[in-house]
Amino acid sequence: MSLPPPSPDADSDQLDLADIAAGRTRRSGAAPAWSRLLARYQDRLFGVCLRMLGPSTRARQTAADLTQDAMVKIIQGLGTFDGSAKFSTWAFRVTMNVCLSHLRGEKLRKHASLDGESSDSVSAIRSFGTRPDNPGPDREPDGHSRVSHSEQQARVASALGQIDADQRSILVLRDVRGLDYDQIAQVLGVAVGTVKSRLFRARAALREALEAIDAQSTPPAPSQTPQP
Amino acid sequence: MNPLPAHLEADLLTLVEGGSLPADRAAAVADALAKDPALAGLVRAMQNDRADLASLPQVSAPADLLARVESVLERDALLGDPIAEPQGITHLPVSQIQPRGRTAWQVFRHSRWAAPVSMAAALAIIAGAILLVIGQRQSGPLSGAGLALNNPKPGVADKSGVPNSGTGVLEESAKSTDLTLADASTPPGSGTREPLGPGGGPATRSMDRGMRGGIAQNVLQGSFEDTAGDRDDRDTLLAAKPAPIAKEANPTASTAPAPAAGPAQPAPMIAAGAPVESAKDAAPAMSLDRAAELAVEGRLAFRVRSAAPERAQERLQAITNRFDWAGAPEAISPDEVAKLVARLNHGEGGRDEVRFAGLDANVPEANPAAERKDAAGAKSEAEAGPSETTKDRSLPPTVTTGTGSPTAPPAAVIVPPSPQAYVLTAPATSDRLGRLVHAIRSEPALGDVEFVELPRDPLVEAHQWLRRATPPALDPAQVVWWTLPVAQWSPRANLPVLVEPAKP
Repeated sequence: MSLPPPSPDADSDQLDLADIAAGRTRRSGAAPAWSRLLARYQDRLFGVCLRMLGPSTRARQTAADLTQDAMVKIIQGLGTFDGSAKFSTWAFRVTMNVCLSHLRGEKLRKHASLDGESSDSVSAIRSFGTRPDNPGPDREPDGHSRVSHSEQQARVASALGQIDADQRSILVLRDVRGLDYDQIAQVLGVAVGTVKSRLFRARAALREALEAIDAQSTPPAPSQTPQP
Repeated sequence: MNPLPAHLEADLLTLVEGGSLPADRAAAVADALAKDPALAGLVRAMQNDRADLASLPQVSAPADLLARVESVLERDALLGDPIAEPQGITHLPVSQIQPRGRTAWQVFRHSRWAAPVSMAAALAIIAGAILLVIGQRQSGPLSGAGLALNNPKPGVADKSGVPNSGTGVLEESAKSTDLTLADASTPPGSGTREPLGPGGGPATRSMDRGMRGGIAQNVLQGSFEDTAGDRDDRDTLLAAKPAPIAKEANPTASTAPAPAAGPAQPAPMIAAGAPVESAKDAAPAMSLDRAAELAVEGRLAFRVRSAAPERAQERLQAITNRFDWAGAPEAISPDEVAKLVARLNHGEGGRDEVRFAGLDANVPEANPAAERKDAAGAKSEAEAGPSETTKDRSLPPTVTTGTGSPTAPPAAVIVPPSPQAYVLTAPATSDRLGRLVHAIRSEPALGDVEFVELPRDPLVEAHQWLRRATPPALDPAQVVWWTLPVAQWSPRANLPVLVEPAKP
């Protein structure tokens, strides 16, 4: 099992931050320091936003918008970055706050609206992570062994989108972005012990969500109707 | 899933994430998993889920994401977003540079008419100045009357030698109407002031002194330059009551009277008839509380020894302007002096009389013949000793004594070098009086000041007379919007101020 090593380039971050602090906008024809800084993090921040949004038809566009907002806040809030944590940790924290604020707003809007999206959610879950020309997996009743790897990723991603946003955030930071407990604690602003207990419960919740998805995708057994 | 113990959760999480446990705890976890197959399946499933999550494909941000961020930052910077803008894009785009329009002055400067118009203006100014100088030389100095009426400095002679009373034409015309001045203790908007005078009635200053101002101006002129008309006026005044003035011809002949004998006579600050300097030295300093009591009774006066008496009214005016509760100094006119002298002498039967020191100051000089006669009478009186009235009464200072007999010739007046007298109005409280004294002492042109206690009789009458015509009384109880309780109203008093030249 190999986790993606999102090793932040701390040295480059420090150089760019020093350039920004010194007001040096360009260095020998290169891009501005803030642009270099954001370019180094834009994919990771966008990935966090996309995983936090979960499967939906407009997740990519919304994730781009949230990433844009997060990057603007990062640049505008550079003055508040005190260097007590790594810049990457601080950037993830800003991004996670933007995502959580958006999800809470979405949750309120869903509560306010009467129309459910259950059918859309199911279809989105099935299509998440798959190509448009690749229809949803035909699951066998005993299915796990024959599910392809991409389909399995799609199931996990779909289940991730169904659990609570706080649990989702801790799973994304730990498993998708590979942060350690201390960094997660700094990003979420909680203690390390809290991170551990929340992480175990988040894994349990993800497991229940996956089992629910499996139960929904399993065709019901044919009913034994008595012949007249 | 049943809730697991916290320590078991932590150990299972370590197991799921591939961490290592101490031997004892690893044995305990293995034992728990062996006993609970479902828990073991959960751990295995969590391990698979974690691997699935970690293997999710890495996504790439949209290509235009940075450009969008840059545009947002630039827009915020242009809109003046208070949030700190990024330091990397502090430059404004070229589209924001707008050419400034030329001002009228710039247009004029760059026009071909600038130089000719400037030259013409300069020539016009020079020609005007030349014409003004020539016109002044041909017409001579301006008339003294005009200057005297418009020069606000009191007592200062203009080029023609006419001193100024400090009241201009407009001011005099305004004073000729009934004006009621409201002080700070008056409710805003009422326009009236209801000080409680010694007589129990309101003592609001109602100005009707257009004529008096003019006469006062003439009298003040007399102290600087004796004109024929002024001499006539003074002669008239002196002839009206020659006896008291005649005794002033020789102040050195006046003897110090005995202290107040009757219970109604207060102990004066300065014994009547005694030289002012010696009386001042002998008299104790009057407390502010006592001065306030006397002010309520109308028996308080200020005596100021000024190094520049001609500026006294101006400086007093400045002081009263500083305090909104103080009324402007009002020069005492010769008409008022004459009335006062007549009242003071009324009923005295031509015997010794007392005059208020500050008020007789404006009495013009007497003619030399009267002075000589008065000197003779005074000499004889000095030889005979102080008169009976002088012994019995305690009288104010600076004072003059009249002739001992009604048949005495008109007396000459000895007026110390150009003293002046004014009347101020102010609340009769120790605080206000103290501030007035402090302000007067702070004025270099005024100098030292002291309280003078006036005798009860007949100066109460004098003060009643000094208290100008009063408007209809205001019933405080009817003023429902008045914020200051009636009990806290302070009575106002007319405070005569005698300004004497300081001794060199």
